[in-house]
Parts: sequence; structure tokens; C-alpha cells
Amino acid sequence: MVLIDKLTEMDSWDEDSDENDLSIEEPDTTGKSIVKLSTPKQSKRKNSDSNNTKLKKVKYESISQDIPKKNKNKDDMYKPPTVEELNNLKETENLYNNNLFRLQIAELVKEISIKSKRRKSLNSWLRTVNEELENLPEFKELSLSDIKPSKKKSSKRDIFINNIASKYSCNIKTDQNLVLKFSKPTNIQSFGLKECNSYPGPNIEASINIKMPKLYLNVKDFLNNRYLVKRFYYLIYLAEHITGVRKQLCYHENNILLPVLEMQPTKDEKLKVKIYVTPPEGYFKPSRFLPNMNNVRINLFDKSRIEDITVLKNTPTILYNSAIAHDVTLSTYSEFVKTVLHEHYNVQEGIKLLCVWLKQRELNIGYGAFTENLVLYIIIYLLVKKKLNKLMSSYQVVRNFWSFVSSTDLSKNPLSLGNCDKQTLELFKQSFSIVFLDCTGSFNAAAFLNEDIMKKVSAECEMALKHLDNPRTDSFHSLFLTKLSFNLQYDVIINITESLPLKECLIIDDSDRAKYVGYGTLQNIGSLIKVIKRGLNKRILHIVPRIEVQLSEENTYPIKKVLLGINLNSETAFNFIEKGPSLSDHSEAEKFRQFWGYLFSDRRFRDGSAHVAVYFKTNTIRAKRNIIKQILQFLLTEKLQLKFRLYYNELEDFLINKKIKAPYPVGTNEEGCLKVINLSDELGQKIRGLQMSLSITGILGLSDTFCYCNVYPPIARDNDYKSKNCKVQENSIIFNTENVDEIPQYVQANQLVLYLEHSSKWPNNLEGVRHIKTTFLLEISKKLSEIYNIKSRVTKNHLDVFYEGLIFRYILYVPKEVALMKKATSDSGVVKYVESQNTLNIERDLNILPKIIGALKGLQLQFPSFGSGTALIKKWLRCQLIDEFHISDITINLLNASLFLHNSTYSESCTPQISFLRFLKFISEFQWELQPLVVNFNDELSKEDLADLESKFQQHSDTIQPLYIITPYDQGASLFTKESPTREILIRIRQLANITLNLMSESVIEQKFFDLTGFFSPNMDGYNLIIHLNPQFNSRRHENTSDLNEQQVILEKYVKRDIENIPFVEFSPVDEYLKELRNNYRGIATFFHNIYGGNCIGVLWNPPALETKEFKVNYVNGRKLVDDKLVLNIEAITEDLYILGKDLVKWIERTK
Amino acid sequence: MTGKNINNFKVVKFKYSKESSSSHNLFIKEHSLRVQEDDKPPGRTLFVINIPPYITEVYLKKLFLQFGNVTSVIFQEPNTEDHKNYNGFKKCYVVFASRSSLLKSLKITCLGLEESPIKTGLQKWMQEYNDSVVKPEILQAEINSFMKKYDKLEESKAKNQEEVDKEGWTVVTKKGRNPGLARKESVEIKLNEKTKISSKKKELKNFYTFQIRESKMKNIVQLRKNYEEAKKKVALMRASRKFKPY
Repeated sequence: MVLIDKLTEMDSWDEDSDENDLSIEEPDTTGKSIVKLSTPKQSKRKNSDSNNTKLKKVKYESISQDIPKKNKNKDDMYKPPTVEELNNLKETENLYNNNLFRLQIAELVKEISIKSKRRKSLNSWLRTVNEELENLPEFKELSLSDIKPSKKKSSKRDIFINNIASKYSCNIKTDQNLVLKFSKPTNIQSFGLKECNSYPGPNIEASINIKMPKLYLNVKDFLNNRYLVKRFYYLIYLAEHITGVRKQLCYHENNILLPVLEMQPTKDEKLKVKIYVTPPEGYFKPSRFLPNMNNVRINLFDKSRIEDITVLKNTPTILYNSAIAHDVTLSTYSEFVKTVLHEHYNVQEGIKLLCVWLKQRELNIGYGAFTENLVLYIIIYLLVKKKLNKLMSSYQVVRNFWSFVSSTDLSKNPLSLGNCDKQTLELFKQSFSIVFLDCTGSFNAAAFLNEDIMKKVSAECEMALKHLDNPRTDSFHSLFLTKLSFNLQYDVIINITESLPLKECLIIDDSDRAKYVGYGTLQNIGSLIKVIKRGLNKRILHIVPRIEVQLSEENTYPIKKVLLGINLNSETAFNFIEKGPSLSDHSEAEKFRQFWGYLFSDRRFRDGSAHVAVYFKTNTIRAKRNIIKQILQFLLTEKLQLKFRLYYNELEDFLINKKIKAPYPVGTNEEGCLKVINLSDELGQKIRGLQMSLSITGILGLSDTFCYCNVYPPIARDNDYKSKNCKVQENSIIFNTENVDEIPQYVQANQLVLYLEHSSKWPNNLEGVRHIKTTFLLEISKKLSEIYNIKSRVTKNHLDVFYEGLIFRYILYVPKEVALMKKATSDSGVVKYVESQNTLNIERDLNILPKIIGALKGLQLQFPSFGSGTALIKKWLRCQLIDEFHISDITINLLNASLFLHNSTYSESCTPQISFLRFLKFISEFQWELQPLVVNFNDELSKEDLADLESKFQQHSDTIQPLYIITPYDQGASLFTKESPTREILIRIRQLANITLNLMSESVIEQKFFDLTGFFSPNMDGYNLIIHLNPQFNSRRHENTSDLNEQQVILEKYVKRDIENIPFVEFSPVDEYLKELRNNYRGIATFFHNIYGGNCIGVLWNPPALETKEFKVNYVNGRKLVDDKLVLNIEAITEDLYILGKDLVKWIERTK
Repeated sequence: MTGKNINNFKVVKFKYSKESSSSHNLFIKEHSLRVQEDDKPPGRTLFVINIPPYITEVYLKKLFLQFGNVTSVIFQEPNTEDHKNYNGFKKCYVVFASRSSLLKSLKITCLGLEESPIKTGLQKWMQEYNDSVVKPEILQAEINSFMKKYDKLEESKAKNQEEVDKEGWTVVTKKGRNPGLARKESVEIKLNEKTKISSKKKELKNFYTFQIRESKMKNIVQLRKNYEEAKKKVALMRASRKFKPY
């Protein structure tokens, strides 16, 4: 709206500035007609020195005079706009999303344009083919039975026969010993996307339609596969006589009855040609192939074991008909398409864009896919129905396509290009789920389209539209430039390739078989999908099959690979009860029982009704997610005895700590976090209820645990720790001796912040405020102990409360303290408030962080896989030795949150695993150099705010931190990424993500098997030093998943005792060690460690530190003098590492 | 062996304890600066640089005791500005009781203690943990003593703030019937803004035609700016080869 307003203003400005009483005719792209303008007043006031001949120049000249010329650059901005420029600007606002989008489209179109060199070489090849076809040798009177290998090689004919027999075998049978009279074709014609200028390059795939001579065919050939067989041999005939570098037969759109010849005519691998063979125009009557006709009367397909031949004779063979109808109508249809698209350049560009969009989503792969031809069909349909026109921009074409597909239920509304009567349309509607009737009215372009794939496409269109309306700048990127491989699009992937050829899994009756004759193998897969759909019922949104078909001579079974992708419905996917029909509905109930076998049970529900149902017993969220797996295993393994591979939740295993047995059911991290949150709420209520001198107005969480993002949330447990190493002092356990043989297990404190009501009585002195704060904590501690007998401990900065087996650490936030820290008096006596690193840190950690944690918690409630997904990311990164110092936990949380909040490239991630994989994809492609990351919780930042912040980022992008995260809570200052991650770490993460993702994709798509633990164990190559630690002094050793030596620890349930001692809190020697190393040596070396129980630290010398320097006081640190030059004293520093980590360090390995 | 010298510094090999197998290079010289500081008296002060991060005052005192009594050890405040390249190596001034000790120390080529008096590693961390556990009574006592001092200070301050001073000037405070403005930067900024806004309000924006024209030109300039910005972005993306779809 804002943009439109600006434009109208511009229009009216035209009026004002037009000083000469002239009328201007300006044809507008938006369709506005003539604008007549006149302002006599102005013309009087101004002298008419500017009555140049050129009308448009006159119009704006006065403005340039008004504006003072300051410098050249500015002058450029203020120069009077030309008409083209004005039009261009207007057009951008009206016809495109925004400037950036328009420019990006232009770039992409440039990238996918076809090089003229390639186009020329194709044309010259076509000319030679034309000649070759003219001179084709003729072979008359060749019958099918003649085709067998023979030793005669005397004539051309013999060689030809021999070649056919040895190279090819036709796996389509027919009823007659057909006579093949090979002669040159009647017509040759280019068609398809390339011919319409709509093929997205840079590769070319041209299609050629070659018409068989009339003599070759017989009027009754449409019966019993005769045409198909003849067509096959004609293709071979052509293949044998056309020159090309590589030739092979493949299927048109994976359609097993429609083989085509694919050629690579020259050495250029990016140039391909597909040759189609069709009957001459008008040879067969199109009505022969309507979906009520039967054209196969003998059982010629051994895959479809039809028992009753009469059934076959009386059933319309709809798919068989469609396959032939495709050929029959091909030339008419493609002519039609060509004329409709003629000179519609923007529409052609739109088609290119849509093809790119489709390809990136891989929905055009396999049998039954939504192919480019269907995109073309819909565009043609929209053009014919006048919903698109020549003047629309490519952006509008694309947008209209998406909005049409997403808003039309194509399974209910059949489309038709011609004026075909309702009856025919109805006829098609009855036989096919989706109808795209072509201009001849006898071929359904969507005959082979899978209904589920169509649904998915329609959902994708809806998502794309949402994307366009989202003002974020990278919508173009995710729509057109991001490749979304199959394994990233679905929550569940089932691979049933191993059990191919598929046994019949369901009883299909003869009439069904007859209907789909020719496609029996695919029908089997269809029925398998039906079974899965029934079993998963409302749990899924989409189930998308990807059936890849391959034509090979030896193997008659054409299906090479079958993958099923499933999008879960996050609301219903993990229901632990599958409610069946009511018990009173006997027949339905019986069916349900039969389907579910031993799993069903009759149940009475709370509302009093009785149903058959399947109940899955679960006690954790992970177990709930496992229900999907359970169902699939039951259906596929037990019911259908199929072998299959499932890619669903394997990675969740790495979130489970098998070495620690919790006293309550714990799966992935959700249960642990929930327990902490519940207990913290309980304790919070108690604390708020205390009668304090200042009342507590808020208690907010600071730890990751409070937003479900902690990998290993602390476990509430009994803490009766007794060891000779420890003693008790004032309710706290402390170390007894200096020589200990083991360190107690790590206990993480759950950090929270306390807010107090406002008071003006705080002292005006920093030290004073701090002391009063401590007094306040002492007061809480005392009251907790007196009233509830809850033990706690106060230090100067915080209060540790031991409650129900957990430690809660409370920190007091007093704004006055920060104000006093900032306070400074300038020379003139004016009081200033100056931000410093310290004050910023306090504000960040105690004021902004809790808000973000709260928002993230809200996100978890909205998207249940957010927390565990983030935990998986964290676990992966930390296992790759990238720890908190390199990229902080909160940064990871925010990164992943941005995916859930803003990335509508995918449907919602329903499992931690898919959320993890999508994160990998995101981080491997995210252009942090070019744009900030926006995490706009609850859309608190307005469009204008965001634009402001983003342009600020653009201006300063050289000087600010490499990763910039805009949230609503820190005024766009990106406080959390100030110190980390560095550019180097971001690049490292990008590389790691890339490799991990590629391996994962390969394992799914190529079925390669490899050990997943590899992802979660570090590669120790490349470090200069490796510090090996003593595991017994690593308090987090139990969190290490790759080290199998550690024994399982069983934690006991918490029991309240009279005398309780506070355990060791947050005591981790390894953390202390790293802190010291980084504090003292971060300019010299970089340290890498896996916080989750890693027993090694990788050390890398920083390149600047290794440089040899002249002697200067600034350079002496850590160096030694060799030949009057300073070099890094590696030996001594290595020894320092021993000294600083005394007892903890086992040994230090020097690598080469 | 006389040892190496460079830029007036003498190179001294330093061994942390008898178990050490390698050594750091310490660079020492007599402290001499034109500006004299009381705590670093000339002629008795030794300047030592490149001291490993874990070395403490106690350690240094003990280390230099072999040359004579050490009066004090003063570490120089590290320069924390260069955050990225920061390291913990220290510079320090060792003040001896007598000049002869200083001269003795300048002759040395090798330094080190048999046994280190400082705790590092696990023992240090355990000690720190134990120290962090404090009795609440002790904490409270500390606070009380501070607050007493603080209260006294406040009282004396309040006494000093007489309303009318000896020469007859009245001090304007925030309290009272006619309080003055607080002298804060934020207050000044606010005042400035207020005057700006009020002067803006008086201004007529759509009065002269040139104003209208200018505002329209501004619109166009904005559009152009957006366009230029977008162009820049796309150029950056093109540079990083982002437009290859597959």
C-alpha cells in the first residue's frame, strides 16, 4: 500500500511540474490511458526559457535547478528521471515484488539462458538428421518372428536384423506376428519446452516428434499392444540409423509403455535430444482412446494375473488408452501450445522460473510425478482462460500459477483446454482422479499423475505464495536457488527398493487389474501406499512416492527404486491411541480388527462410547515419536513381510545418555527439561511467597534447560554423595584432601534471575548496592531454611538452592547497579551514562537473555521438535569440538529458532532429526556475509524496523561481527554474537555441515550404509597438539557417547532427608582448565574441546603467533630469542599446558 | 657463559621447577624512566618481561630472594584492548631493598625454583571451590562493616550540603520547593529534542510549491536509493556465484 501511495504521489507531481501548458500522452504499463495535465499558474510564474523541443526533458528541468549541486554523487541521485526510468520504477513496484526480486529474476534468467553456441550446434545436427532420415534404407516384409540372431551378414537387411536381435529386446508382447515395413518417416517436427522458448538451461533437452509412415501401420493396431510393439521397433530402426555420440532407450516421464530414444548428438554433454515416434495425424480416431474403451483383449502382461478373460474384455483399459492417446494427440497438442505461447515472452520466462522451482523440489522425478509438461499445461490453461496475459511480468505469471494451483482443488475440478462437452469431461472425471484434458478432448495430460504428488505440489504452491508475501529478502533464494533434496523434504522416508520386485500385497480384483493393464507393477506399489495410508491415517499430511523406472534389456522388471516420503501432521502424528469405528458398527469394526491384527483392543472412552482402538503404551516423548516407526514396522514387516529401510529417528539415539540411568523415564531431553521447569515453578512460588523487604516481581529462567534446548538437562536425584575425598562444611560438601582419586559427577545449576519491585532506597554507591544485594540473598536463604527447611547457600553474586534433588541458582538483577556502573561525570559536570563491556554483558545476561529464553520456550510449545532438534544440533557441533567459546548455546538456539519462525521453505519439521538436517542445509548455505539473520519473535519488529536494521547492517557490514542476529529484544544490536562466532569458525561449521549433509543424503538416496556415530565423534587430524586428559578428573565423562569404557551410573530417586548437604555445583576441572588456557593463550593458540565428556583438547597455533619477529617489547610474549629474532617458544608453552592442567592432563601429543 | 643481550635486555632462561625440561626466556633490565614513580625507585628496580601467565607475586618474591631482600613486586596492568590477540604473559617490576641485589640479579643467566610455591591445576580449582563456600555469618559480617562505613560517609556528606554557604550562595538541589534540573546528559538531550520538535511544528511544510516538489523528488530519490541498494546486493550475490540453480 505504501508503495502505491508513493506512485500516486508521483503521478500528481507530474501535473505540478509540468509548467508548459501541454498535454502528455504516456501509455502506462499498468493500463492507465492518457494523462492530460495542465497548470497555468506555474507557467505564468516561471519564465518559459525551457520550451525545448523535447517534451519530456522540459518537464523535469525546473527541478534540477531547484536542487543545489553539492557533489557529483548526490547530483546523480537528484537528476531528473527519464520516462523509462520512471516507468521502470513504477513497473517494479506494480509488477514485481520489489527491486531485489526483479533483479534476482533477471540474474537467474541470465544464468539459465541457453548459449547460442549450443543452440547452433543443435540446429546443425537437426539438419543432418533430416538428411539422414531422407536417405533411410527401407526394409520391407520383415516379420516379428524373423528377428533373431543369425550368422548371415550378407545384406544390409541381415545386419540390421542381427543388430536388433542382439542389442534390444522388446518386453512388450503382442498377439500377432506383425509385419514391419520399415521406410522413411512422413514428418519430423520439434516440439516441447525448448521449442516454446521455455526450457530452463543451461543444458538443452530438445524433443523431436517423428511420424511413422502410414504404410508401417495398420488400422487395427491400437489393439493388443500391436501399436506399442511397432512403435518400439521403429524407434530401434531410427536408433540404428541416426548418428549421435550416445544413444539409449529410456521412458518418457518414467512411463513404462512409452519408450523414447534419448540421444546425445555431439560431444557436448549438455545437449540432449529425445526422439518420440508417433502415428501420422488422423490415422487413429482419437475417440478410440476415451476412458470407456477397451483395447486389450488378451492377457499379454504376465505381471497382471487376470483370471477371468471376459472381465478384461469388458473393462476399459484406461491407462493403456492414455499411453496411446499421448502419441496420437502429441503433434496437435504441441502445435496448439506453440501458437498459444507465441510471442508471450514474459510467460515463457515464467515457465522457466516455474521449472526451476519444480526441479529444486524434485517433484518432477519418477513415475506419476508432476512433470514440466504439466506446468506447461496449467500455464496454457490459464492463458486460454484469460487468467494470464501477454503484458504480465514473469513474476506475475509465476504468482498466478501458484495461486491457481494452491486455491483450486484439482481432484474435484477437471480442467479442459478445448470446448469439450460435459459428458466427456464427466467420463474422464470418473476414471481419473485428476483431469487435465488437452485441446483434442481425448487425452488426459494428468492421466499418470499421482494424486498424492499433486497434493504435495499444491501444498508447495501455497508455501511459495506465503514466501512471496513474506518481506524477508531471501525469499527468492529459498524459492529458486535452494536445492531441496528428497531427504530434506520429508519427516519420514521409507525405502522399499530392497523388496523389489514387489509381491502382491493386497488382493486386487480382476476388474481393477484390467483397468490398469500394462501398469500392474506400479499398481502394486499403489496398493502398498494405500495400506500405509490407512495405517498412519490422520498422522500424515502427505505421502509422496518416488518411483524410478529404468529400461534395461536383461531385467524385465522396470522399477529401479522406490522411496516414499511422508510429511507428518504435527498435531496428530504422535497420538498414542488410534481410534477405530464404534463397536456397534460390526462390519467396520471387524475390518479394523483384521487390519490391525493383534494390536487392536476394544476400549471404552471417557465420553462413554466404545470403540475398537489401537493403544500404544508410551512414557516419553521419544517413545511417542516411535509410534510411527512401530506402525510402519507392523504394517510392512509383520503384515506384508517386506524388507524396508526407514530414515526417521536414528539420530535421536545420540541424545540419549545411556551411561546415566535416571530415576524417572527419560527419553531425549524433553522429560528432563520439563522436570526442571516444573520444580523451578514450584520453588519459584515458594520464594515469591516469602515476606521480603522488597517483593519479588519476577523469576525468569536463564539456562538452556528452560527452553528445552539443553542436551543433557540436570537430573533430579538423590544426592547422598559419600567419598573419602569429601567432607561437609556448613551444609555443603567440599573437598577434603588435596590428593583425590576421582571427581564427583558434574551437577549443573539451573540459573534464574530475580527481579525486584522498584525502590528508590538503593544506595547511591556501587559497592553499597552490591552488598545490599547479597544481604537480600541471605535473607531469602534464611527464610527458605526456616519456613520450608530447604537448604541453600549464598555467595556474593548468587544463591544456590538445593530443591528436590536439583540445584537452582538465583541471580539478582538490580537496574540501579547497571546505572551506577555506567555513570560517569564529564568535565563540565554533566552526568553521562556510558555503556561498557561489563554493563552490556550484565544487561544482556540478566535482562535480555531471559526474554529470549521465554520466547524460545513459547516456540517449543508451538513446535514440539524445536528443543530436541536444537539439542541435536548442539550435540553435533560440540562433538566436532566446537564449544561454547566458539559459538555460544544461545546463538545456536537463535539460529534454529529462525528456521522454525521464518523459513517456510519446508513444511513444519516434526522430528528432531529432520529439524537437524534442515539446519545443516541452512547453515551450509546461509550467507552471513551478505545479510543479517532475523529472529522476529511474535513479529514484534515491524516491517519498517526490519528494513531499517537491515540497511544499517548493509552499511556497516565490514566492521561488525560476522554473524549478525536481529531479535526484538536487543534493539537490533546482536549482543549475543559480539565475540563469537568468528569468520573462521563459521566457515568451519559450513564445511562440516556440508559434508555431514551430503553423507546423510547419500545414505538415503543411494542406500549407502555407514556408521552414524561418525557424525558424533571428532576428527582429531590437523591439530598441532592434542592434550589428553585423565578421565577420572573429567566430571562430565558420563556424557561422552563415543567412549564405551565408562560404566553406567544409576541415579537414585530423590528422598527428602532431615540433614541435607548441597552437592558439588558446576565443578568441572576441564572447563576451568579451558578457561585458563583461553584467558592466557588465546592470542597464541586456539583450543577445541567437546564439552560433553570429551577427553581430548585440540590445540592449534594461531598463524600470526608463529611468525618470526624482530625484537620488540610488544612481541616478546611467549617467544624466545633465537639468533636475535623472536620465535614462538613451543616447547615452553607446551610445558605451560602441563603446569596449568596439573593432574588433569595425562599427556600431550605432538602431531606433525 | 655471560648470556645474550638484546636492546639493553638481558635474556634469562627460566625454569618453573626442577621437573621442567624446557624453559621460557625472561627478558630483564634495570628499570629506568625519566618520569620517576615512587613505588619504582630508580637504581633498585628490575624490569622483567615475558613472565608466564601462571606466575604469581609470591612466586616471584621467592625467586628473586636469592639476590637479596625484595621490597615489592609490581605487575603492570595488561593491555586488554586488543581482545583477539590477548595473551596472559606479564610484565613486572621487582623492587629490591638494595642496589647490590639488583646488580647481582642482572648477572644471572638462568633462573628457577626447586619447588614451586603456587598451586596449579586440579589442586588450585579444588581450593577455589572450597573457598567459594562461605559461611553466611562471615558474609553478613562483611556486609555490616561495609554498611556502617557507608552510613557514616553518607551522614558526613549530608552535613556538608548546607543550603546556604558562607558567601551567601544557595545550592540548588533536587529537593525543595523549586528543584533545579538534574545535570544529566539524557536530560539535556531531551531538552534539545523538545526545542527541535517545537520549532518543527511551527514550520509550514506544504506551503510553497518548491517544498511540494522537493518532497516528491525525495520520493524518487528514495526509490532510486532502494534500487541502488538492491543492485549492490545482487552484485554481491553474483560475485559469490549464488545464481547457479543446480
